[in-house]
Amino acid sequence: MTKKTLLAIVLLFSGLALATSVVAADNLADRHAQDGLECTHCHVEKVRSKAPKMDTCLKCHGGSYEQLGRASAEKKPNPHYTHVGDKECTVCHKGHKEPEFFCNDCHKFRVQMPLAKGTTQGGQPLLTGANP
Amino acid sequence: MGQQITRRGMMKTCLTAVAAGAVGPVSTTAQAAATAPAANDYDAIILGAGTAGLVAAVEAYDQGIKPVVLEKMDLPAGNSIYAMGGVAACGTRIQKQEGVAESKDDLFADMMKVSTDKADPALTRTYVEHIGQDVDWLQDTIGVKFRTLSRLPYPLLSRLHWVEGGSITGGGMLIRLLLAACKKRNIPILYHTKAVELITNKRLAVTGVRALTEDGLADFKARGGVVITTGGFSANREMLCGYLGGVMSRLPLRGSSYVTGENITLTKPLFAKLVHMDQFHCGPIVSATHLNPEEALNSGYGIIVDLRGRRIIDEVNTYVAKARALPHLTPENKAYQLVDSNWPAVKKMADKCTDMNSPFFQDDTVEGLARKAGLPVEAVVTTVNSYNEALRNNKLEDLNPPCTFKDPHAMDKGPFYAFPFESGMTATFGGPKINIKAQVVNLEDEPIKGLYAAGNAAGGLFFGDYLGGTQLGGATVFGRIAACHIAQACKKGKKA
Repeated sequence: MTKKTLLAIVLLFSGLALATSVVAADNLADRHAQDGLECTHCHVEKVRSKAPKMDTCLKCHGGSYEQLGRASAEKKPNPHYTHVGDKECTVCHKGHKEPEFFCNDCHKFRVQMPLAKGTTQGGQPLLTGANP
Repeated sequence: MGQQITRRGMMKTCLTAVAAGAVGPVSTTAQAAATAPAANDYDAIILGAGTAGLVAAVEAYDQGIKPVVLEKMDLPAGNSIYAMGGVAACGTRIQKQEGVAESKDDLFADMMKVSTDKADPALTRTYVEHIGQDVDWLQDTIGVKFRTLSRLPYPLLSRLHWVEGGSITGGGMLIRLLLAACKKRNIPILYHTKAVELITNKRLAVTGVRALTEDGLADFKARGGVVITTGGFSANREMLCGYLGGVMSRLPLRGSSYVTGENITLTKPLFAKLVHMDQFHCGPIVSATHLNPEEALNSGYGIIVDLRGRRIIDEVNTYVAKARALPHLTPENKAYQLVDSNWPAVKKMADKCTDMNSPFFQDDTVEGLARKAGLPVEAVVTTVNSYNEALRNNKLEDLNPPCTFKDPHAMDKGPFYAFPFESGMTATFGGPKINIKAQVVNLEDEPIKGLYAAGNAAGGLFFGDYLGGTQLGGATVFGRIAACHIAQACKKGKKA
């Protein structure tokens, strides 16, 4: 299957999802669709199936990464200003599936991400082997 | 921050050239260079966007030559961003302003001492001669803000210049500022571009780099030289097993998962002299959350017990020494720092764990604490009672292992706390030996023309332990030296 065919199918089903969407958005793409945005609003890359780059997201969200960092400065940790640098938005904010909190690849912060199912990311860490 | 140029556009021409050269499997000889001529010409090619690499890039540009940085990840992803951000120095403007006199000879002596005199004296001397002006340079040229000097850590002198990180690590801030300095100069940083081979001429002088990009292999030509600033091999398990072996090769990581030994794989085919290959630094870590419990281990309070509830080490040791010993003392590489509320900072430590959602245990009794931590209750109670009794009888040194605190404290004030920790890998010290010009030398101690290394990619500066703040310091000193030397070579019109 060519990429174009695949994309066409994806877009077709996205369109169906849009047409039949219910109130609660399951993911970022659903929410965008509910807001009346077309798929191509975000999918502007030359290879359309590729995740949108940061600049595309910033056009509607924050304007700049620095501004995003200021807007979320009260959060602990500030997800938009970290020691690892400014990650691409889609590393955490997945378009078509649940969000993933990149920081928790190493840490276990209790963070509520937009559109995340459940109340926390990370959960309760356990020090395995604590019982001899 | 973020990508500064469109890599794809820059790749087009060189990819065409590589395709024309019918690139086969990656080779390590000059033959590849002949069939795949470089199409991207620079004066200095710098591999790895860490402290050493970005410092080298800025210095190269300011020396009037044309650098490029190739970074295999999407952002600077080496160990710098995990660093607390200390730079050990003498003779800085800050020290003069604060009326602190730290001598070069004393710093030299202490750096040699922590290496048990096995660090390269010439490199160590170069460090102490340059670091003062280099800290000033970090302030003036990069815009680094340092905190007020404090007399920490060992040997409690006012040497450590802490990068002010704000809400992030000092190392993370340093990288942000270095990236900004590169951006200001329009220095290209090509992300997702991993060096896979050094290109050489028929005399085995380094003339460029073959790199794997998102679009395939591409060749880069270096008129003056290539600087390897890829860090060590702390995240390369195969190399750790080979060079360290045993329990220390299986520690959890405290830093980057992407420091994978390109300093070795790229230079070994050129017969680089690899030194200090079994040397590394480790420290305490909670691997599940990456919390660093160093405050608890250095508190001077409490005892350390293993999962059987027994004391395992003289608590007077530094947190680094404790971490280094732990994997040899316990098969699980896990222990608990037990402290009571006599430690004034215990609440702060508990809050830090809470903020990071990192496990710790608290109870009003030792018995309850052991139960909550899942430790054998009877053993823990016996251990704590034995410690307190020995303290009362002035016989702490008779314990096994002895406890030699000069100012020991009883464990008798609830609530009691248990902070778990493991030993974790910080960084490796082994790599291609460099000379005082940051040139990589071969097994005959001759410089490999056109090849440089700096930071933890380079071998020779560290052995055993390192003086706090000399890793970032070394990256700065030798990153700048490499860039200056390449610039001189370019101006003379020859390869160094």
